Amino acid sequence: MTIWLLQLPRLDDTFSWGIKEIEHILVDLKQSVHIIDINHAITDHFHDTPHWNTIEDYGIVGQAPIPIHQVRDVIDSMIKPIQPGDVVLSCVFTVESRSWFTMVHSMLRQLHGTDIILGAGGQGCRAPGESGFTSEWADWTLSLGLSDIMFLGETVTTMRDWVEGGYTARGKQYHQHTEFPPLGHLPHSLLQDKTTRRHDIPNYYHYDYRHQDERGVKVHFTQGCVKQCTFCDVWHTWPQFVMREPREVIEEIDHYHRSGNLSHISFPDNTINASNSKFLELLQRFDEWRHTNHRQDLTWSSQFAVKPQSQFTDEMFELIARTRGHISVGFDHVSDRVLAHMKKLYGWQDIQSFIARCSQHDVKISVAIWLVGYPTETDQDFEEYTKLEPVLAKPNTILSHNVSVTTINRNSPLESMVTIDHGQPNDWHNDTVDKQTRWQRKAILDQMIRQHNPSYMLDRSTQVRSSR
Amino acid sequence: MIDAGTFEITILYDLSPKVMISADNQIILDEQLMGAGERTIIIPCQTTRTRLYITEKQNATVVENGRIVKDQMIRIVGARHQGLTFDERHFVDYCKPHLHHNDSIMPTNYLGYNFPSYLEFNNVNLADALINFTVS
Repeated sequence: MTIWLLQLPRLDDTFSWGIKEIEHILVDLKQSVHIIDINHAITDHFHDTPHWNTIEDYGIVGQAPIPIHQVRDVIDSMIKPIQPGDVVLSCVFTVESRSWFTMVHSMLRQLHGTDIILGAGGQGCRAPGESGFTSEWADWTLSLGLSDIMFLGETVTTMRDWVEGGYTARGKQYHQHTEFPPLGHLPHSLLQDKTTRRHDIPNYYHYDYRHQDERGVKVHFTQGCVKQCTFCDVWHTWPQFVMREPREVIEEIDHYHRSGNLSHISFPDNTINASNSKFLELLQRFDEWRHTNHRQDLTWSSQFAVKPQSQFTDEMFELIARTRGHISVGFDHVSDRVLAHMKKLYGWQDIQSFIARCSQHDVKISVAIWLVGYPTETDQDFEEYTKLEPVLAKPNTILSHNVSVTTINRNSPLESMVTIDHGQPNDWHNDTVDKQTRWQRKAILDQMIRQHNPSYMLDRSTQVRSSR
Repeated sequence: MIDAGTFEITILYDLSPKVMISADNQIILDEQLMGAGERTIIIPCQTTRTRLYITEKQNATVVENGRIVKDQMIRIVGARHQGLTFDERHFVDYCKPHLHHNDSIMPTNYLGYNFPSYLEFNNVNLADALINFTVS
């Protein structure tokens, strides 16, 4: 009996961070496990074809006239090794990948009926804002028979229980840890296996021209967030903020370095700098380790949270630059009124200062994220985005921008401010903004930013798409 | 067309309808279902189209105080194939059953009229129905 882990198509050509951890847990339990990278197969087959935009729309919208026969042929060839009696777990990392889940699991049922056990887990199993055992989508898949078991939250204990129980557990399984689980480091065997993976260590940046030759691993430092921004789902999904000791993180990096081929560390943290002092300690230890091990070539990346300018020291910017960090930053707006309502805890002056200090110290901002169509965003608030023009006109270290329309999470403070049918989540509206307004504003801001940054605008996370 | 596996439909019925079900040109059920209840019927492989009829109507309606309170009927409330289970709503949305009555065709899973009116649906793999709905 083999356990198959399916990486479903997602926003870019990378592995979900959870799939490696699940593999780790299963190998630890002495299970025969293989990864099938459907994401990469779809990307490989269609990325340079006229069908690519439509296929990406399928992931985002869930319904699109994709070249269904060709797509099914690709998936069919990928799932051929799966036999009756096997177990299949799909990684549903984003809400968008649910459409792919429906297709793949329907095909698996068509092939093997109930002679295989189907399961799924991942962030996309719940709508933003759902927590605990709540998951309408999981209920739907279980009632239809598209899956037999759904893992919500963390899997470090529920996965073990399921395996040790002989795969008999069914339905929704949920766990949320309050401290980092003792996963240990990925063993050497998982880093060096050439037979079932495309790379020794997943190449997370295959289609990103900036990182084409790099090999990376994902290393956790923190999980969750200490803020409660109104539009965000992180504090719903991971209500407990947890953080490791910086020393432990460096030990893990050292382990991967000794395993060979490491050139990039990707932190999947939402708020790597939640604690200023601990983040600084991490950077200092990492810088020291780099020099000791002659690994000044290593790069790293993470999401990063802006704070009031007085909370950042020059030393922090210097260390980020010296350790070759690339940060992606959700600035989210320029209007102080909107930022205050979002509970961002900083204002436009702090954003200006941050961009300037990054430029001064050469800290690369890989993606700057802006939101439009926030429920309280008036025409006047949106017009304040013109403040960005003189900032972007000056030399800066922002490599790309992403303008997103605001979505409304269940159980968020925004839900009570709008009219929304969660079956058609993109159609929410109130007296201030509606869907048309949101998309018009996105088009306007996209255009304005593109004028200052023509090479680096990301319509999605796929670099190549935006250059067409 | 179902080309593999066992395809089942579940029907609810009331007031003892005499039910006939055909799978393409083959009659697979011709029976009076007594009283009210639920029945699961297996549709053979290779069937393209299934039709359900109420062939006789006797004591078809219960009237109380001038109001119809019960009617002889059958209603498709689910389907099952290769581990996938459609409840009533999913069956209606994905398999699109419809009623042929007089010269009209209307989408529904309910048959209250007697012969020659009939309920009909095209047999598709439930997996294909799900995929088609997802990508359409």
